[in-house]
Amino acid sequence: MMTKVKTQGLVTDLMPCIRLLQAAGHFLFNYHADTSGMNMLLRKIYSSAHAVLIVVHYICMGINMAQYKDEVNELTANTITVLFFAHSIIKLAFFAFNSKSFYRTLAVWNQSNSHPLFTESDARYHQISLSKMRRLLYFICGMTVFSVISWVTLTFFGESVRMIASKETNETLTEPAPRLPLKAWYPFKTMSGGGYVFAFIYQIYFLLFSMALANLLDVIFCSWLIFACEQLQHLKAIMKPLMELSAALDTYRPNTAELFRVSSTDKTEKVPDAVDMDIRGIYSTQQDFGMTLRGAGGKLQNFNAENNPNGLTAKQEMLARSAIKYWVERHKHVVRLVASIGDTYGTALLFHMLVSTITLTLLAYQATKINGINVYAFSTIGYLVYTLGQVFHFCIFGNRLIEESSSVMEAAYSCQWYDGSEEAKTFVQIVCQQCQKAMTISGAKFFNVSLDLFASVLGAVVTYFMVLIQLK
Amino acid sequence: MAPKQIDCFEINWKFWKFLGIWSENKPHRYYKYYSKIFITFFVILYDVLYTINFYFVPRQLDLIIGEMLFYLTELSVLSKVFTFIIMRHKLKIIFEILESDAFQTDTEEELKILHRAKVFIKRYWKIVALVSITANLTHISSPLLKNLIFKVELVLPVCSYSFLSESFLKTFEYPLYFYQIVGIHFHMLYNLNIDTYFLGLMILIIAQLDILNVKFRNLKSGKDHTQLNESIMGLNKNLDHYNEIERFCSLVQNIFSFTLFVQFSMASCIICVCLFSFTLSVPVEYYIFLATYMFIMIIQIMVPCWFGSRIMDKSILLSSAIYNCDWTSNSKDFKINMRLFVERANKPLSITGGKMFSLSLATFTSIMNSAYSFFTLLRYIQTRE
Repeated sequence: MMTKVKTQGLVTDLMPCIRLLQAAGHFLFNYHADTSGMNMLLRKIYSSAHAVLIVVHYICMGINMAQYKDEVNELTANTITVLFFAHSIIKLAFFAFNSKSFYRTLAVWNQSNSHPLFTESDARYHQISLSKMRRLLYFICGMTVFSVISWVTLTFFGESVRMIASKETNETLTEPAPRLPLKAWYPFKTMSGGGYVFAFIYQIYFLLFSMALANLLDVIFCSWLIFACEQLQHLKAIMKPLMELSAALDTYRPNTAELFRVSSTDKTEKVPDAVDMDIRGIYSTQQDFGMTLRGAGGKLQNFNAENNPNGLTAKQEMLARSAIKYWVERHKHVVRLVASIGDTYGTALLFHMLVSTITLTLLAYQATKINGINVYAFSTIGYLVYTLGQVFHFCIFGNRLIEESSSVMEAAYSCQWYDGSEEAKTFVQIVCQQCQKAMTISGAKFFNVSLDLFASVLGAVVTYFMVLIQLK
Repeated sequence: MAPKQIDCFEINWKFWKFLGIWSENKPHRYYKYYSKIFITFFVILYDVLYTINFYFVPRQLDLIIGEMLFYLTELSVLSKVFTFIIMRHKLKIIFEILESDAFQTDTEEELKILHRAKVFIKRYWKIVALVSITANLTHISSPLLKNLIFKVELVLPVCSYSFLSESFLKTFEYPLYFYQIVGIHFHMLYNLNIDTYFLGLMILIIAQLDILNVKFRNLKSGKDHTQLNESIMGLNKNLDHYNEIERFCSLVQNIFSFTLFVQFSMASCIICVCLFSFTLSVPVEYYIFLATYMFIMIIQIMVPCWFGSRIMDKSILLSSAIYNCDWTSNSKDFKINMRLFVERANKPLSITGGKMFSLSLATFTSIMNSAYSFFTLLRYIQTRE
């Protein structure tokens, strides 16, 4: 009987994705309820079995590529397939070697601060990020399954042949090849019969699991980015009430007779202990918070100018200060999260971009040979769309992070900071200065993940395609 | 007593003293004569002979490129030697600054950072020394061995001295050979020790920036007046530390600017020449030598560029470091100081060579690009001939 594992923070949010990763065979051994030796051993065996099967099939594909390297078209097609699945092998190995930093990033959000004024906004944006993450997961899973199905379906169209370069006459001949989704070398005969069925099932397994391996890791990365973006949205959303809080408590608003009347409902306020910043016990009613409409000029100003010339009581000043502190600490937490994400996944992005660049160059060459609506056209376009889609997937979320983090400055400026207290204005100034530089995810410091990267990749592919068309 | 920061340069000092470019505070009486004679004989005369040689080489692209292989490195070595002779006093100031109060460490963590930096400097020296000496020995010893064992004619390894007559070359072949190999060995030692020294300085700057980062993060705020005062004093001390690091950086830039400029200008030509030599038909061991030589040349520019990029990144990280401290509850003066510092920290600390090449990965990429362009150009000229 499995007891539910206690999780917190990001792990709870990403649990479906984590479970899928474990099912696909990544070396992810944390976050299980029972960690007895036997079960851990079983899980390790499960992951290793998947890894072995996938690597063995990849090597078979590599052997096939080496076998038929004489004919250019065959070589190009095989190279593209090999590079296509190189992503899965790289990501599998990358996760295995870097699992510690993945766990560290997943644990970054385990303790987050809270403030009674802003819990509602926090919960709302958390819910938004959760729903976005779920939708992304479903979409990517759906696309993966769709790709596998369409790949297998396409296998049954067209002629199942292989190109051979004849050495004597130097022209290309065709030779019948087994009708399988992937061209690979097997030690047994696969043209028909039992060998064929076994190879077919093995290849379907390979297609599904290797694509899942690569895509799910990208989903985790993008989910982290979604979470960071929604936290930044939350911070932007509470900037305005924060300023209003500080303004309502501080600004001298000459509002007629109200000014000089002492409110009869004023209770004696319990002055909080200056050291103890725990304000939960002190504030209980809406009146205490002073959150009345701005138009009325806020709560009545108390002109007991004992400690503070602006007329704030000690309690109200501490409230404003604690709200600012909450904002700053939350922002620092988000910065830490983004830095951790960049450290964890940056190198994987670099490898992905390197492999994708070579793949796309070869695909541009293949695309020049399309001569009609046939299997060749569909498969080349399918490869192109899939590869560009993978790059687009993380570029768009990286770009969103850049936009969100640099728009914090605009949000800070667009609230009514000029009505705020001195402290609030200083806070706005420091925040604006800090947020001028956007938070970016970089691929091991070589490039920044943004839509610019995607545009340059797309531009390069189109350029190669045009040049190669001209050369023909 | 804590070990001195500059202990990691001890081995560099020994080599410099031997090579005649570094005199201690109380040098031996005849040291300056020794250094003058050494440098004239092994550096200046060497380069002059090499330059004269170019006039006498037949005007064929293959032969000229073959001769050029070492010439460009000689030029950068010459610039380094001159830097050391002319900027002697400023170099001594560098060591004094490294030992001054501003750069001392207080806490355990800071000591660890510094210790790691020193270990890295020493290790890097050993690796580069190993690779350079291996490359050098294979190149210079193979003609000699072939001559002694296989009785093949002795080919001068560095420069063919075509301005001397054939008979002169035949009679004096062994002395000339030994002069060349000893000279190229010393040049390699100059390169090794000065490059690793410059790199060591950059690593120490990075360590200081790391220490400053830690100090900024740990700035505490206070509740009462004295604590707040203390925290402002702490911040101001760190700001002084940053100023000291910046001053040190500009001093290093001042000293090495010329030699960096020469080195980077030569770098793309050197790589292009190496690439071109690959295409000529030469014996197998020459290929091995070429491969290691090109590897060392690429490392020679990549490593300063890499660490220059790191200095820029780390100095920008300081603004996030100070944001991460507990500033919200601090006094107003603290926040004003902090804002002004962040404005300064947003502009990175960089080292520039000759006001043109700033040490960063972008420079490295453009050097490799231009090397490849020159190479394709040379190939085109060669195929046209």
